[in-house]
Amino acid sequence: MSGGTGTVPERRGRLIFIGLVLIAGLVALFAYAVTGPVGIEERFASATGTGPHDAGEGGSGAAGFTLEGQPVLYGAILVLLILGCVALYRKFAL
Amino acid sequence: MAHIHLEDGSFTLFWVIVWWVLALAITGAAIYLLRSAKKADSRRITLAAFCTAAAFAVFQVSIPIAGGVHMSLTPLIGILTGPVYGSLIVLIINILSAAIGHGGWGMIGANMLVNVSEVFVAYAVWRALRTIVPDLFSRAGIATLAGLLCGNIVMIVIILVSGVQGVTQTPGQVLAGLSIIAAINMGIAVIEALMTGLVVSYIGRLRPDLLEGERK
Repeated sequence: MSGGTGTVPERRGRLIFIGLVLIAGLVALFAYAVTGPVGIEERFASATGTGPHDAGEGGSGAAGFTLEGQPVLYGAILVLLILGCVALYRKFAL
Repeated sequence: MAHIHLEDGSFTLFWVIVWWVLALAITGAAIYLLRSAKKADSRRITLAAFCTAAAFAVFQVSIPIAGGVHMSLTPLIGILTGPVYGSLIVLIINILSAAIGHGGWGMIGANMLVNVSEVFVAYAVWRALRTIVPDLFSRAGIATLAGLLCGNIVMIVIILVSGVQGVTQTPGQVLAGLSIIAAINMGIAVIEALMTGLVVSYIGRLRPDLLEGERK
């Protein structure tokens, strides 16, 4: 692609790349055949055992915390982050 | 692409803090290295800004393949800007993504570590193969696949080490499930490798001075 001359190192690079692509593609096809067309969130929920209904909410263990579905907390943290970024930018501006 | 799609509360607070501390240590090191440079590289800062905007946008686009996936562009970030700028870029992307509900706030540290590993490995492979694979397309593609494979491994390790609260799955079952996710992710990595290869070879033809490791 970079020159198109087809020298030995270039052909070697393409062969390695094509080989890796084939391996990755075959592995992915096999995995897809096992799971079917499932969204990424559902895939994670299934893998970790959180279940489809908990996929967007997480647990609430003794040391855990829940922000999901609480826009006020999200907003507060977002404001804190913005303030922190402004402070850091003012102090460490390149 | 590798991204921990678990919400806040999935990890215990202890592990959330551990991953955040590690991520902040990397961020601190990156800032220190940038500030210790005698002169800021304005060209690379501009490139980093473009990469941040592009990667954030790509992060949010769900591609309707295998039930819905997204790409990350982290290997391209590593190739174009290097690991120092790349570390800061992935932190910003993960913070902005969490701000719109893509990943939990507590997961930013863990997800930054996943993405930083992709940036570092892609950059390292890109540099290491410079003499062995002169073809830019193939080298960028190989670097992308290596980076994204590493990101998937780091993702699995972080989840297994942290554990997920409130579930009855054994670590073996979680490993099996996450391995399937990683395998599907590698299929998407093929698309990302082709895209990265095309972008890098295009930049290499027009502006080779913009490529990390190709500057004369």
